[in-house]
Amino acid sequence: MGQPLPDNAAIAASIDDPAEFAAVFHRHFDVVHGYIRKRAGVLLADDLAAQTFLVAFDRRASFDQSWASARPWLLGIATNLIHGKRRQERRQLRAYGRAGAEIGFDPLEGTEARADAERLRPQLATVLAALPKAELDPLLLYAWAELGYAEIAAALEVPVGTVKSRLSRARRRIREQLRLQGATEEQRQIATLEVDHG
Amino acid sequence: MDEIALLRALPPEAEEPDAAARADALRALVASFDGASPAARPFRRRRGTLAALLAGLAAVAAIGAAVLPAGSGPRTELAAAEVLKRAAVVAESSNAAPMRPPAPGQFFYLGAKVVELQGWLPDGPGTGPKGSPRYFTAHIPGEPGARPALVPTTKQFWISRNGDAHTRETLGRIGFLSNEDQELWEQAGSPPPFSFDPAEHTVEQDASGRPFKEFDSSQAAGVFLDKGVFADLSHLPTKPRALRLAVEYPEGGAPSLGSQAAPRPVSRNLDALERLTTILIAPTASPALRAAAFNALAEIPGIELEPGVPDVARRRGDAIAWEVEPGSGFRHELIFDPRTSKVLADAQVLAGAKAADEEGVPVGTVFRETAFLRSGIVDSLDETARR
Repeated sequence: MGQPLPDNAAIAASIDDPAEFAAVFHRHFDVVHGYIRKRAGVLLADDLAAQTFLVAFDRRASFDQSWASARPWLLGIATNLIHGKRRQERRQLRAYGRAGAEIGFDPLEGTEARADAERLRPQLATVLAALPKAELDPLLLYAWAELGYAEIAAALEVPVGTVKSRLSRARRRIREQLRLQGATEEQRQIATLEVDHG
Repeated sequence: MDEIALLRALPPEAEEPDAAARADALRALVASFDGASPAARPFRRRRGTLAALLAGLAAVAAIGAAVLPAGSGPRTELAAAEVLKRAAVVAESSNAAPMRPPAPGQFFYLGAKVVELQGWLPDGPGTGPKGSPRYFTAHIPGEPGARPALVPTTKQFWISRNGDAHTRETLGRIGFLSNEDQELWEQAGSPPPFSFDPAEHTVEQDASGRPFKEFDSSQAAGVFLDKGVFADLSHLPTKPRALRLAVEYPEGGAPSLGSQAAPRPVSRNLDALERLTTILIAPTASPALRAAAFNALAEIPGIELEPGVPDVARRRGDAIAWEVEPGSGFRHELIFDPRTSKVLADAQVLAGAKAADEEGVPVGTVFRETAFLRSGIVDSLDETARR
């Protein structure tokens, strides 16, 4: 048995032999499904992940063959499909902030960090749900799909510089919002004293 | 922790997608290779084995055949008889005692997933009993302008010894047969199905935001329970021929076993089929009685086999199927696990063009299906069965 074709070769071959496209499906379905599941919830993940590959197959002739991996391209298609379910996505993002929601702590993180994450979760979820999609998309492709700048640019079909600036804006917005909303009562009192006596 | 670390900690670790979801997605993709159906549709009966679908590229060529309607005729009937006889052996070897009615203070718990084809009107058909537009109508689309939707509900019953039931129903994700239907429904404000309409029922939301309602009633209806969940079946014979006669002539008057029986009318066969499947589902049936029911079914003409059928809970089993009434286009399917003989689901499917045309849906769409999930005796309403 020969080496499996890389994505770009499999996609090129699938123009004449559609069955070649199945290799792309097997290689990336789980990642695409996981990304959609995080953004739009488990109820939509099955359908949108399936649709992602149908759309990709239809558009395979336009795939940029300079990319060896189809992952950014597929995640870009998935992102566009999620845009059509914006309301459900917002609901899912807000749900992460509700008490009792599962949270994916890194077990190596210290207890202080855990406490931070737990305390800031509701505000973070609220900020995320309110971010414009131009900032949310690069942010979640970076944080949840673990794409690099160039890959995000390819996925969203925008210049790398645009990705960097949008990502930077999104991160700054989160930092600002968390500082405003995330402070404990004690921190607010200290801040007030500093202003009063500063 | 910086904001990216916080962000990564926000959602739970993504689980691997369900194997059935992956298989459905692959099947839809492969169908598009041939320019066939462009998208997977929910709750359509699909045939073929999961293993074949997941076998990778080698499976691709086989999938075209897997989505074709099941065959019919003597070969599939013979295959059904063989599978039913094997299921009888499995059933007889079970050491599970038939369930006894719950003791005072205990409950029989049953969890089931039910999917129904319902009709709804994008403009709303008028005014409901409390002055609200009611979008979902009766069980059947039928009405001019009505669109089909598949409404899944998880039903949980806690049934006490005297038959009183506490019921919890949770609405699942409504399935549509086309993207256009889904968009119409969303444009109408995503109206809930009639039975979950807050204007007409007391509906709450669970922790994950799903609508649910709880109520008490004097009987648990909606699944097999209306046929008597605690029925004493110990009087039924455990020899296949005798059992078949007993279910064909429940009012008595059956010909003697040794006599030359006249050809049975179709209606009597159909009645026998329904009663034998009830026995297979009933928790009070003994292993010997279930084995006799499988063997009796193996002798009834017109039953076909559909191997590797998924139920609405995404489990796969072998299905035996027959037409509900000759020429009706409605097909009754009983899906069971051949390894355990346990019935997974009981379904009616639109299998003929006539029925499908009347409902305005494609052939193969589920009309109503009940997938039996867990059942057993529990000590309180807070408890659910483990199996």
